[in-house]
Amino acid sequence: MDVAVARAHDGIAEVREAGVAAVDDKIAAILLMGADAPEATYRLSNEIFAEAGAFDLAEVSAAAFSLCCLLSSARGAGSPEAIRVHLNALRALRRADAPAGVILAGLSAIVARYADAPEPEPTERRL
Amino acid sequence: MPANDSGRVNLAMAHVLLIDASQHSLDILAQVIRGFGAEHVYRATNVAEAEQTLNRVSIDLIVIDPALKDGDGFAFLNALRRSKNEPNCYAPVILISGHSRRADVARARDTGASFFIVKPIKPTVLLERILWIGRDKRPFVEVSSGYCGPDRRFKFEGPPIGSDGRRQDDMSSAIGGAAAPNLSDDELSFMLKPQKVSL
Repeated sequence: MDVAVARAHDGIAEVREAGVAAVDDKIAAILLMGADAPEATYRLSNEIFAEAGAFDLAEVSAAAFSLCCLLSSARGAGSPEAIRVHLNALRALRRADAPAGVILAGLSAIVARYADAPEPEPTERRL
Repeated sequence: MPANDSGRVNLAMAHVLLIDASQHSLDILAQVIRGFGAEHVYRATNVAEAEQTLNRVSIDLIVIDPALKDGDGFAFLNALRRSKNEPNCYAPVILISGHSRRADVARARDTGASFFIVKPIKPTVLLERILWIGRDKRPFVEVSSGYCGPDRRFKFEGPPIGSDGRRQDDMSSAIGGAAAPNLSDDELSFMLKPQKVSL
């Protein structure tokens, strides 16, 4: 099993460069869309969450997940300011010197303020 | 995709269909599945491509993110389960999802998938689930209320209290009357008394 997992990680490493470039393109795309297209922004941020996470960009992935949580609440999707803060956070977190902990704590506070109800945690669920 | 006696699953001969709207997510998934040894990997970014593959190849495992652009992945999966496209309608399905809205979690449970895991993809988790599916003995059920897929009950603890159950092998919760006379004290003592056994 360890060999198979190691080979899988090697396979991900092979596509990492192209994948990270694609994540950056998607961040640029949602910065252009802004708060005007919440459904398209939700779809793209969901892709950023998944792909950045697979390439070990944990902070970017967490910020994208936070944006998904915000956009899946009615109040959050209707708040251009809260969406704009998330978009700026995504851009900032791509810089090496970004204070990731402070930024993510701020995003958590925003999502908590706009939440309709508790969101499902990103954990495994057995059917 | 059965496990052999040693519990190992050989994916070299398995035909695996990956369905995800994002090409980059498909790249990641394909690399992981190939890393596990699968040599026959099919990719689809929409329902139409997935259906084309399912109509020409016998698939051993489907991994799908239901958030597809040209249609609803849950509806696609439900239609596959109810189709007569054998053996593909019985293929194990791992449903993967990024952020899930609350309604989607309930739909995922009822859509006939074998397992639901969340992105980002972690090779260890995906491999564990594939191995688990290889050992899965749950029967495939079709319920009049609409569900069609692997039995959602992982443990058999009888039907819910106050109901007679929906399966032929569901036992009634009523104990009923005694089928034979009660044992006497002597008979019980004899059963409990240690016996010398010569081997």
